[in-house]
Amino acid sequence: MEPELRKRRPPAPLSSLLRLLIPPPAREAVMGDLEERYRSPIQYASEGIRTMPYLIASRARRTSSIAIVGLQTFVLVACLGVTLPDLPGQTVPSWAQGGIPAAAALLALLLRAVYRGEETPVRSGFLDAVAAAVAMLLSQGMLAGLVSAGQIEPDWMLPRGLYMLGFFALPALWLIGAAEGRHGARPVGAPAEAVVQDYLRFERGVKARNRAEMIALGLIVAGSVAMLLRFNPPMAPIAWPFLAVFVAIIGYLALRGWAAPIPAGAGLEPLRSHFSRELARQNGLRGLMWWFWFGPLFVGLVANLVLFGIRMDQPLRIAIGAGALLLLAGFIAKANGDRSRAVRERIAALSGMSEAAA
Amino acid sequence: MAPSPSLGQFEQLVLTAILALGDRAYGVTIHAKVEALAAPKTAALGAVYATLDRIEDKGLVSSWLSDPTPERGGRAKRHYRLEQAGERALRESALTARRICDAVEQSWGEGIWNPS
Repeated sequence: MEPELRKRRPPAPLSSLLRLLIPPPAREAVMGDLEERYRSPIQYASEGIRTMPYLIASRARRTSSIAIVGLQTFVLVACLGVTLPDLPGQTVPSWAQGGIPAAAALLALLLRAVYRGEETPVRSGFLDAVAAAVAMLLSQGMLAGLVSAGQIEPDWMLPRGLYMLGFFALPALWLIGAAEGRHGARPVGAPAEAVVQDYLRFERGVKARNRAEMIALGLIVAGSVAMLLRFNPPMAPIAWPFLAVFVAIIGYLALRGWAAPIPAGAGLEPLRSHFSRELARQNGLRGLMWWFWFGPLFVGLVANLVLFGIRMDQPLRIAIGAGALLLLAGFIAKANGDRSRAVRERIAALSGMSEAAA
Repeated sequence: MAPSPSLGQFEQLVLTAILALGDRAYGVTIHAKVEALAAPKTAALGAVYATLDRIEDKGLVSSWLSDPTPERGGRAKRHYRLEQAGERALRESALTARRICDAVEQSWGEGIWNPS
């Protein structure tokens, strides 16, 4: 029996390759299913390859939120100058110059969502930013190769000035990734000790996320100040108040952003209400902050699309700008709504637990 | 009681396969059963996995990993079972299908089911 089994097993390199390509949560069962159906290396490889798009699409659907992907897209589009008006004599339009690295970064973010394992939100956001940066640099490296081979015009490359603006996408992507909280509800009837452990985990998560947010906002503020002082752009009078608000947010996070510690000797009921209160407070804080974070994006869209369209008498540009503003607001509202719903479910689970205990 | 989610035709096939297979419902057997139910059409294995993920997210089925088995290279099987919501949704779909069958039979006669 054993030699028979050994003979019918797929070649190890092929098996290792498929194992690498199948998203981690589906890997064990799908690899087993493919092996059970194994008849020949060609059948095995072809079935594995044909199965892959379904697995990747299904995993992407399960791990990605339309609001988060939308916000990531807006950040990349804005920071890579996709909406910037074309300069006279520019042979490749701005949307194409910025669109290539933006598309590469979005593809990297999608693949990260499909293949990432268990990660904390802060780590996940950080790795998202790193993956996007690598993808953007790779796309520019490939374009540079094509330019030096004389295949395309040098104008296809991202202009040097936009590299600095592109830097802002990285802390912004970190902020978006770090804010994607996991709000799994604890089963009804869990003991008080389990709630304490759960709260301590929540407290640690809030602390890590606040630190990440302060660092990311600090990077954005430092980069913006450097840019404003060096170039003194026309939008400087609007940018300074925004930066002041960002600094105020960093200050607030440092002083009041942490989850309050559990009162000493608290029983289940005070513990539950403390937990619920903190969940609601953190959720409210995040809800407000998301509108502030994306404030500069709203200003950029108004300036580059709506106002420029009015000045140049371009109705299409104005319409695209108005649509983009509504879409951005919709994504922020949806991201806030999704998080609020998860928090409400968690608070309801905590209430159910206290009733069960009573 | 909340209304059952409406099912696509492929979701109906997958749920029926899980119902029919009982304790033996996992990727390979579900795919084989779906192909038998959908004959002469064929079904991609990947489409079965994607549908299983979707109906699990809808709360119609639940899944768990079994112990590893030697004929699968020591890998576990992901087993599926119908949840109450899945049974309800499948029953509603089956009733609709029956009403369609009855109406077709009334118009075209019982001979409609004989292979031509």
